[in-house]
Amino acid sequence: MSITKFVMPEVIFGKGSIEQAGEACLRLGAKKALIVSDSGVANAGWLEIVIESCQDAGLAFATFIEMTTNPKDREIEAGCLTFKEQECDAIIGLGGGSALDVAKGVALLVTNGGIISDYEGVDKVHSPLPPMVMIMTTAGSGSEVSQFSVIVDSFREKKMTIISKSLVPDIAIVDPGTLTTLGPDLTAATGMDVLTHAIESYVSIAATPLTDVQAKNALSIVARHLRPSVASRHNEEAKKAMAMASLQAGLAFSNAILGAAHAISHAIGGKYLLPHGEINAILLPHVMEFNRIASPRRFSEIAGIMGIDTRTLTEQEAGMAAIHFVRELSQDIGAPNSLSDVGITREMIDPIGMTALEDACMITNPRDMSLEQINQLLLTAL
Amino acid sequence: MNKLELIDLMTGVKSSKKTYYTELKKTVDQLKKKNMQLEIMNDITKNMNMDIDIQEILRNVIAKLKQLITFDDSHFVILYEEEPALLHICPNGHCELEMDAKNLLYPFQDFSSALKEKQPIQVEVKRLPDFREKERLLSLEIESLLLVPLYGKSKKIGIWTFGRKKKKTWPKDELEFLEQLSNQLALTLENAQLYKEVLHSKQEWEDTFKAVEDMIIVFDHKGAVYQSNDSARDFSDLVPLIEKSQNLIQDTFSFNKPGFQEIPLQHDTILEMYAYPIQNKEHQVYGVIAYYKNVTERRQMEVQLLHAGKLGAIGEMAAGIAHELNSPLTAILGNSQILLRKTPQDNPDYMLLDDIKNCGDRCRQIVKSLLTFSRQDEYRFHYYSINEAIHQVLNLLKYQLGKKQISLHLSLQEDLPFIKGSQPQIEQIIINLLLNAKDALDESEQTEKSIAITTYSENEFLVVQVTDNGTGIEQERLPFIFHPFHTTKDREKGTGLGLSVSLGIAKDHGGKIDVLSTPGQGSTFFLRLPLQAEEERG
Repeated sequence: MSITKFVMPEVIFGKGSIEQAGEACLRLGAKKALIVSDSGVANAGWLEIVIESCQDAGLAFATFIEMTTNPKDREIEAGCLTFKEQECDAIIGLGGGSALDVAKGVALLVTNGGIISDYEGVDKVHSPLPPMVMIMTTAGSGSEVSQFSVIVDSFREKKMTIISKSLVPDIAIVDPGTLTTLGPDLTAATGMDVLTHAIESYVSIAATPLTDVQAKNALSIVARHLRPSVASRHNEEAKKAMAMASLQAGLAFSNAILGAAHAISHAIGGKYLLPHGEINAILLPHVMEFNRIASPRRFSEIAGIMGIDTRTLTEQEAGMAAIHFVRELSQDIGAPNSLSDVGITREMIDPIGMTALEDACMITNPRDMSLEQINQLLLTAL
Repeated sequence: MNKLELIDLMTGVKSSKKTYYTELKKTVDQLKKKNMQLEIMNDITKNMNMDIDIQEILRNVIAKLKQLITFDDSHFVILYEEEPALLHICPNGHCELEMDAKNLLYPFQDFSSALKEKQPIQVEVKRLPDFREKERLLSLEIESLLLVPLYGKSKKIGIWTFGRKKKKTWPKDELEFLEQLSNQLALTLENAQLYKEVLHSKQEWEDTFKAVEDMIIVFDHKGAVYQSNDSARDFSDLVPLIEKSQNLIQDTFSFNKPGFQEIPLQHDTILEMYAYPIQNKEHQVYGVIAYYKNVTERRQMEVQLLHAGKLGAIGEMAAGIAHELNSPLTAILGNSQILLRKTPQDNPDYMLLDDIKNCGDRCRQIVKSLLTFSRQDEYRFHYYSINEAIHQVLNLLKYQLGKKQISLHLSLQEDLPFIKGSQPQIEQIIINLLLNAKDALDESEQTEKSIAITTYSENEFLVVQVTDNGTGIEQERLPFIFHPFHTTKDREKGTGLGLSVSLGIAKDHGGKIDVLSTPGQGSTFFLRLPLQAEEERG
């Protein structure tokens, strides 16, 4: 592809940037913002800071924090109702991927109408969304910069991937300070998600030089800083690095899209409501092994980017080394390494394949994947 | 959608975030379009109830529509007495109605189905059967034709066509608008038609109202003139007429019933007035229509008819008497003649016998006059010279006139044509007129008594004018002088039948006798006889 396109929001980065939330939202012409967040973030005190920033900026606001991990369609409906009842005209998303995806879903429905499953798939949004300011509080989903929103359809028990440029927020606030309140498990899981974003977008068939830069940076940062970040809540340098990695991986996958790991992870997550980051951590090395033959050079490059000395290795060996590196990292930070670790049994695998095949992320996977191959991969990952 | 297309949607250059700016622009564009649509609709609605020029409306609508919708050709096929007639409006905009439907041979099957389905149909020009317009459409490179049916409230009006050079399908919103527009337009066209019909019949009524020769005046509740026709406006005595009408108008208002009265006006004019109340839906009277008929002439004719009737009766009676008298008179005259011859003139009885014979002669003369009056004796018509007739009469009367020192002035036009009639009867009229003149001069104290006889032609009449400078006739007596037995003379001198009989003869000849008279100065009688006496007369 000779012509490339790279879409991203305004990005405000740095410790304490969360306090800019109200001001930023006001600049977008908002009069009353709906702050979409979750109780974890509220308990950690970040919601209070955002509310204060709104008050300081003279921006009216309402809050919506009734949500769970793996955001559901009904939560979006509820958020939408609050938005309308409170007569809001802008959205502030505050939290991890779940909160931000709900915030986007609410924004989508309040101007486009209908139900969220109407917009499943690619480019279905027809009206502009209200101004969105997204503040991430985990180094993971990249939702604050991406054109993705992943929502669970409770009837079909699947995660719907909604992809549209209109879902790209107007302003993303990345404050590494928010990462200091995360526990090691969540840090590890979200960190592995960042790694998955970086690797999948780097080998995506829609990757461009612009996304490559972002992916490579993210890869290199995760390889060096994820361990210290998991290890210490107060390692500011590691937190800052991981925040940057999450941001860049987000930019990369938002523009290059993802691959099989996410397609399958969405299918499992939607069906069994398991933590997204952990599933990705388990699936990533298996998918890398499967995809390796599609682009041996890219996989060998990944090894180099992550800091492995590949000078004496063949492309194949380097690729293998990269996979090995991922497994080691996953193990080091205490992420689960098999599906059975998170409670998946052989019987539960069956319904996953078909759903995964239909996921938009499968489209950009570098290697074509059949149902049997997905099932095989899942069996291996058990 | 294949994989590449999906990737393009996710990462391609064309995938863009929806912004309010572009959406606003779209909305504004849509509003502009809607505005234009409303404007066009408004244009049509505005003209709904007025006397409109259909072609003018179409021209305006098409001009505006061109800003809204892309098309390269448009025309109307209007059903004119069930046959399609073509009205060109676009692209060259000339709006003549081509009525020659038979030559048109429109692909009526497609038109019918568009009308039947009541919705637009798109057809390909190339596939249409041959018809005259097709050539023009093809020459304009029109590939597709949209047929939009025009439906009024009740009936089919026609088809509105839109031609496009490109065979693109019409977007739904444009079709919807065209349908709405055509509905509105059809209604307007239908209304215009109805309006014209109403206007036409109104005009007809107004013309009728105007054309009535009798006067029609509509009065309002105050008795003032609300409307009147031309005859009423031209009537010279309108003001007194209206004044004299007021009572009946008020009565008509009060009693809500038609009324009638006769209105006499100056110059013996008589009008009959009929008044009718005009009611509203609640049967309240809000006006009165008065209808005036000038019956002056009719009345005069009735008087004349009465006169003629009288004359007829008298004639029959006279004829009867005359016949009865003829036999005894013959005996009287014959016997007195015999006796006179036998009696010497010195016999004292001779005078008595001569008197009997003279009176008998007189009686026979009277009987003859009576028979003439009652047309019991007929004459045959032939061509004669009026001047000659006058000379004949004068041969008889010259002596008598001369004896009375009456000078006679003749002024006879020489080149008068012969006229058809009974010369002896006409001579009798002239004798009558001359004897009357002589009598008038007898009673007059004029020192220079004269009678002038003049003949001349005037229009279609030949006129014998007899003028004397005698006593003249009083104005009040003039209407009666032609009545039988009307006389001012002594019993011995006149029977009172002269003028009456003369008038009868004149009328039998298609002529008439008029008189002008000034008491103390004299009279002039005009005997007018038609130059071309009617063939069947006599």
